Amino acid sequence: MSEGNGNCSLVEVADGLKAKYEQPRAALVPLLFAVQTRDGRVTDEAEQEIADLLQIDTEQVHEAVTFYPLLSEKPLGKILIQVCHNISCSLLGVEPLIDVLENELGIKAGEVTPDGEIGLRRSECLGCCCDAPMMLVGEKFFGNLTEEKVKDVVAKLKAGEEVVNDSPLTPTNEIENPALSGNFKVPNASSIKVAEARGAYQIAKKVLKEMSPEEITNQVKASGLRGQGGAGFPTGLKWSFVPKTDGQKYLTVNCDESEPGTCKDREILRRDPHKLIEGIIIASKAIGVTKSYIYIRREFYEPAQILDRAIQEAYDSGYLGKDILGTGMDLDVYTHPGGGAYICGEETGLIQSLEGRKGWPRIKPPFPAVQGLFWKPTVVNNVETISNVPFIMEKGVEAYRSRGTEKSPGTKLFGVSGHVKRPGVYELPMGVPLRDLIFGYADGIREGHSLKAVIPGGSSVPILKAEEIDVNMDFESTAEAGTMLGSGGAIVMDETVKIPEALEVLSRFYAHESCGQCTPCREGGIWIYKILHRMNSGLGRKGDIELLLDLAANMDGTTICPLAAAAAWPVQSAIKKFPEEFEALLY
Amino acid sequence: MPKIKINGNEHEFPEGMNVLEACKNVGIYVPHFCYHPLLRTVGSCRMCKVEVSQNMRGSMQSRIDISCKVEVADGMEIRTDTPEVKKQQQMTLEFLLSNHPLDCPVCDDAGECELQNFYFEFGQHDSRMIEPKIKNRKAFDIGRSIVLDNERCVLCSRCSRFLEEVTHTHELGIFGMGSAESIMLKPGARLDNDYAGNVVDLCPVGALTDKDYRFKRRVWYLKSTPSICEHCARGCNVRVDWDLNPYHWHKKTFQMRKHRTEATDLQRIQRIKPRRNDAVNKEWICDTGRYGYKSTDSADRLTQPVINESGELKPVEAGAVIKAFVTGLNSAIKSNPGKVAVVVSPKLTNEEIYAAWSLFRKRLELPNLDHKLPVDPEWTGDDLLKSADPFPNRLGCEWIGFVPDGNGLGVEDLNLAISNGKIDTLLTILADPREFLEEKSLSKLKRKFFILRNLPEDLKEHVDAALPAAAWGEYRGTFTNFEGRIQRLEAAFDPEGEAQPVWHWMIELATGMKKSLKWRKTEDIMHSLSDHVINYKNLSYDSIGPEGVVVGDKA
Repeated sequence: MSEGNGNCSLVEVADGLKAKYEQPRAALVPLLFAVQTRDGRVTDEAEQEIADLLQIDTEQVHEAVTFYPLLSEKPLGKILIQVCHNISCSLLGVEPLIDVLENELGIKAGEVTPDGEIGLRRSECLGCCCDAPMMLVGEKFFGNLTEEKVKDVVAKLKAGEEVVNDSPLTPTNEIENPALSGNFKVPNASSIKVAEARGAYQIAKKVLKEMSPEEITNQVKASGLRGQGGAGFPTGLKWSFVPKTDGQKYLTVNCDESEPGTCKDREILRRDPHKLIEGIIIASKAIGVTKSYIYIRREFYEPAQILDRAIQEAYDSGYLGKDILGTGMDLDVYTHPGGGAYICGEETGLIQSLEGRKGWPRIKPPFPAVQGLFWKPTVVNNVETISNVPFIMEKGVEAYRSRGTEKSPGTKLFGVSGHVKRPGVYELPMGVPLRDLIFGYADGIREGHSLKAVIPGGSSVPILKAEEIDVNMDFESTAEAGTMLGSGGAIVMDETVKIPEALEVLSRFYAHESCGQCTPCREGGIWIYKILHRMNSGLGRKGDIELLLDLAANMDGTTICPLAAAAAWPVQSAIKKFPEEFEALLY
Repeated sequence: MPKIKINGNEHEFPEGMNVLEACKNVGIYVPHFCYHPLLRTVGSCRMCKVEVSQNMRGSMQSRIDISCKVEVADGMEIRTDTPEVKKQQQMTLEFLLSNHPLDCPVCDDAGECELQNFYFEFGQHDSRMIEPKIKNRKAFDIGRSIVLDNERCVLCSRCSRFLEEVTHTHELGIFGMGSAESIMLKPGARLDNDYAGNVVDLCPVGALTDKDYRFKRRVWYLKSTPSICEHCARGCNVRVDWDLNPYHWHKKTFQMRKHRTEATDLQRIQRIKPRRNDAVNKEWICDTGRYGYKSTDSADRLTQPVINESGELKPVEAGAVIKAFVTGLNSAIKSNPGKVAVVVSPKLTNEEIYAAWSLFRKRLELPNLDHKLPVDPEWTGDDLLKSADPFPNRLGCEWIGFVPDGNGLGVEDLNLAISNGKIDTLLTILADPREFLEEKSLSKLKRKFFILRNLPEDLKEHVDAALPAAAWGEYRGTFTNFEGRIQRLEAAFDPEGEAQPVWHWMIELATGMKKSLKWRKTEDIMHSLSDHVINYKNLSYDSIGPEGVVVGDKA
């Protein structure tokens, strides 16, 4: 392709993208991915080109390029291998596999082969913990890695062969009257024909014709549905905060799933995307939205392709677009790629990122419901939260509340990863005993080993010891047990795990993912990681534990967003629960 | 207006004011790095924490919050002195210092560094950081006058916000993420805009330093004097930071003074900093004004009265030059007052203009007075601060009436008038006549008198006699800026050598011409000025506040 043609197509891409957003700048990250695909990296010239197209300054472009881990000024290699080295993957032995990759490719992680063909890099959580250890090869997914698999992939790449996705369906369960996973085991349920045959969009049709926005919101309120991303904020209440004015409002769906241990939203995208779209249609009616964005982390290549196809089908069938199903309601749904920064899962970080800025969270107030995306009223909901809405509208409040607890009603997708026989994503009523989740659905600890500890709800929640796992998995019971439900992704560790080493992996993650805005998080995260790294290297000193606890305390609640707190809690709880392991590192 | 309690005392503040400013207003300083009153509030440094208690659903609820982002609200109670507030301030400092290089002994900012000052006031902890610190760029040249040290940077983003919000030039950004982020130039850029120097003022630490000041002087040796920039009609409020000590050590000889101009550490003015005046310059100045102080201590300063003796300028007593002026002017006036032209620079203060006007127009009734020096074609204004008029006091000249009278000749008429012999005597005050006279006109003049601050080598041949004028920093007085705002300048130090302010020479000259002007100090002149020139009516130094005062038809 000549340079002229390249530019020409970029202009077209930019025009297409700009039409999706109220402000052209929002097209920044997608455009950067376009030039990175074109040029193999983001050059200064490309930054200038994009700045001109979006009429912003190159400084603003360069900030994004240097902020988002998926964007690079240096060549990444024609094919980039990204290996997750976060908690679930490292529990299952990703480090030796990285050594294998380095040996096979003859380069270190972070480098590119001399011929510029293959790049290798370590990545923080890629949101596929139940398939750990895993890696991405270009846009292709490889889960449940073994040495043989890794060698095979490298051999194929070296031979110039195509590699194909190796993403087996994550184990799930059967549940009566499923709210979320009903189609998970149905082959091809992401196709609209199959989904429609199983009732997709029927309830949206009914709701759009028969219910007022207030009625929908009230029903969701009455159901007690809570945010499934981790915070558990009542969803109906969140919707009701949006001013009842006529101006532009937005629904933004958070699919930046990247809390280590969490891989539930990915299953919805891959296995029942129409459920999500139907939920978006109903929620949009309730909030009065005509444009909805699904912010989806770019590492979800396959799920995003499935979702994009499903959205297109929904448009083609008249479920999206102008005058949906003759109800007079307009709704456009767009997907927007994330840049690989964990912080963009925080709702204001997500909004900033969607607007084409660095994902630096905003100070609240103003809350997004009043001033969110493009400073318009915005609801940010997690994928799983929105996917619950069709069930609530179809089966009613009673049916939803018949499961779970009074304050944490309904079912939830629970993930189990780590040292269990059957890691997977299971739809279960809220309040399911953690023991059942681990020893029942996930089939217990791997052969010959015993349970040591569980992080029950995504990496930031306080850890539980083996003898503490008789806790019900709902917001209130977990809080009583001194931990949190979080995103419901349990990370299970057996007796082989050294807690300080596991904590180092988590601290490396939080240090890496701090957006750098607030002092305590930017400086404290890396400090904690350095201390743990030193301790685990055999250089622990008297006073290190007190220092870790003090730094953690100074990070907790002292910043704009909760990332610093999320980095602090694992430190506090791991030291509290396993003090002897830390003390053993001191001399 | 909301009433709030700060540390137990009730005060009233305007709606919308943040707690940090409210505290400052009642004399309680809340430490902060990223907050700046003239930039967008980002709340990222986490330093300005206070305890905020507010009535929430019937009971007082307390929380620790950043005072820059909380607006005063009726019934609010603020405490800046609780143990928890102090602990959070201390821990923020600990975090900021954890990767700081602690190179204060070689840092220009030491002594006025907020990190250093806050550590002594709010920190006072022993370092617990034993891990290897993050290495980053040091002494990195990022522009004509700016050097960046990333290790010292606290990432407050004031510089990048200034370049984004004020100059809209975006040269600097915060690039990278988390602990890997740092302030840096965007690709291909240099920090060379006309307002670049302000980022050094904004930087709370020594991350951005000014090449012009680097390693020149420890800040605690500096004395500061408020002044007004003389480089354009805006009249930006500035502070002259100066130090005489080394000057005194070396003052022994004329040679040493000459030497001073080559060795910057012997200069008296060390640097110029903006003073805040939201009505004039906010808290910014342009680089022209910032670095435009050098002529005060430059090698071509005229420090002694000089007189031309057979083609060579000889230093003489002031009386001899005054006598030459008097004789020359008198003989020209005797033949025809129209033979004399007096051209002053609109750099003169109102007092100096008025003194000159009083002598030449009121007493001597000379018709050919003017101030309209041509504007340097290289000079351009902008829409931020720089005025299209490069003179600080043109309006003062106009109001006082230092202009040709009915049939008098102005600056633009002089070449013709000299060539046809109408004018043969020229007194130029603070200007180089070559700016408005052709070489041949200058040669044709019979008498060429000067009052000058600087006497360039190549002007010397045209000088019959010259008096040394006090330079910027050496005199006091007032300027009238483009909008009719009168602002005061203070003298930082005494004039060099035998130099005197122009008003002083006017009095001497008047005395020599038996036309006495009975003033002893600039206040006296202001008093006369306020009596006689309508726009300055009732004005005195005391009535000119810190923001200046707008008078005349523009008030």
